[in-house]
Amino acid sequence: MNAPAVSDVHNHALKARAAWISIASNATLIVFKLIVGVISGSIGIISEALHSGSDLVASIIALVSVRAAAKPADPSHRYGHEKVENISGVIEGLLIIVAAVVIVYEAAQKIVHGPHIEHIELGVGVMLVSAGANLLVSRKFLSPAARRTDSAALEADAAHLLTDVYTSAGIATGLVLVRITGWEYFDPILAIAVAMLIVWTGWRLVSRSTRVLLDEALPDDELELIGEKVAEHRGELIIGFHRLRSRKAGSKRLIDLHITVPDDMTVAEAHAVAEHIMADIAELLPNSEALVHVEPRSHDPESD
Amino acid sequence: MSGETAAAKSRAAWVSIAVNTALIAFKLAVGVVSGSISIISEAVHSSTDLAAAVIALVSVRKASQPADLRHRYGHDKVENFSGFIEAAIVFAAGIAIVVEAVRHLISGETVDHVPLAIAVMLVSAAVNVGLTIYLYRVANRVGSPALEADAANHLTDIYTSLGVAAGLALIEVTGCTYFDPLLALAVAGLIMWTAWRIASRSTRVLLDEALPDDELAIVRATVAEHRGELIIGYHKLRSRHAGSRHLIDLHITVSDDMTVAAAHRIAEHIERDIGQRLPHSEVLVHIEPASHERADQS
Repeated sequence: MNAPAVSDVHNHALKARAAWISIASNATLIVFKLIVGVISGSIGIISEALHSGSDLVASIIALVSVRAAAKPADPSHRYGHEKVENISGVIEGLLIIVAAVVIVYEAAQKIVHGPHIEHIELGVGVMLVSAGANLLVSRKFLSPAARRTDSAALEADAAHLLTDVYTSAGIATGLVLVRITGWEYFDPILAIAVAMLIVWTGWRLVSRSTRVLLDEALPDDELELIGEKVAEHRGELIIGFHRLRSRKAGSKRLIDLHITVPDDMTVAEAHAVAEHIMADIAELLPNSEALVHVEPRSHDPESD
Repeated sequence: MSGETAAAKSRAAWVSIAVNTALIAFKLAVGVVSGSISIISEAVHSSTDLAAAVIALVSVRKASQPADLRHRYGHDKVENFSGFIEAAIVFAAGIAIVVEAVRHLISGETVDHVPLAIAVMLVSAAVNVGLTIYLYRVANRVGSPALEADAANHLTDIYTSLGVAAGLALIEVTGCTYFDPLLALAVAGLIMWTAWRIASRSTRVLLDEALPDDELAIVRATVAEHRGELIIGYHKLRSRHAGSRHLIDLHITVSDDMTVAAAHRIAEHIERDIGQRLPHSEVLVHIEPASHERADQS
């Protein structure tokens, strides 16, 4: 339809840059953790490397999806490609859950066969470096970009990395406890606790993206704004409105509604009103697109 | 969705649950007795089938709920989402079978009760043929992506059961026990391929892909019948699926001085005509004056 606005191009660049930073950071962390994990023989550090591996996959998915979502609508996707970001949110959530299951499995084996941990100081050091890097990338780059562009994919990646901060802290605590008490079971026990945390985040990401994929309505406060805006036109030219429907696709808001006007109003006049309402809504909520269906007063809205 | 359709979907999902439960009990019992990793992994596979069938039931029930304030476009997409989740489960089952088979290849365990195991697989394949045909038939009749995904899942169960049976028969004939895990690996490949197929089909709907060309042609032909007479033209025809429903919106152009009442009658007519030729469809028409078309059509 229209050429992409300057702000759109800017948003896409911002999203892609944030996704690339996440990829670079995760790749570095994997190499780092794997080397130290193998040397120290800590299941905590190795499972953390594995977790960073799933983080890397997740951040690649985030990059691929923000790029795909930026493509304009085409004949086979007339509503745009934004929902790719929500699909990526589901996949990221599922990846986290799978990673958690693997961690629990590994930790259970460690408990059954008896843990054996060396290089505790090194392990704690690795976890603190990892927590610092993830905190920086999540808070400094991903979250602000996700908020600014309303990107579901970046939001998922940011949430993902933030729980890594907690998991790294959990593993570090486990290692410190092993060091102090000499009881090596603290390592797998803390790993299981960390896995529980990850599962919860995974579930939250899946459910949040799923709601968009199932065409859930916009939040009530946004719907109220739309209702108030449309109501401003009431009396003057339109008699009323009904059947206000809404949904999201990535950051895009898709809205449609019926307005009622006098039977003898001409199509040109009615369309001018409809256009006005659509423009008002687009101005009210960023990245929104409204479609208005005009109805004559004589039509019974119950028959829709 | 009519109550009758919803009931037919639920009934089919329940049949799938019952058949899978019976198959799990059957395979597990024989698998443990015969010590065949393939039969036990088949029982594991049947239990993922049971989970998938339960998801199908939950989703066809949820999808049949009418539109509410939080879901103004209905709940039909739950069916497409369930296809996505089913695919993830099937994929995970495939990976589990690969892990088991590789472990078995390395350890080289032997298989007992080969003739019995072959019989189990043949029984399983026969049961799944019946279930698959039944599910596809209901899915096509009432239009249910969730039941279709369940049917696709069981179709590969037929291949897997036959694959395992062939593996066991080869062991019996050649005496080489590696056939069992090797065939299990092949079966796992088939399972993952199905998972991909189910996932991609549901994803396309979840991403609001347009209706297939033949259905769009019906819509275009219906709208075109009205052209000339009262409508100057149409544009911005958009479409998508939600479960078995077709959601369509388009802009039609009429003369500037036509009244809203007259224009709305035409719009209603078009909406009804499309609804008749393309069952389960819902159309939203945006009417535009001819003077506006040039500005909007680009």
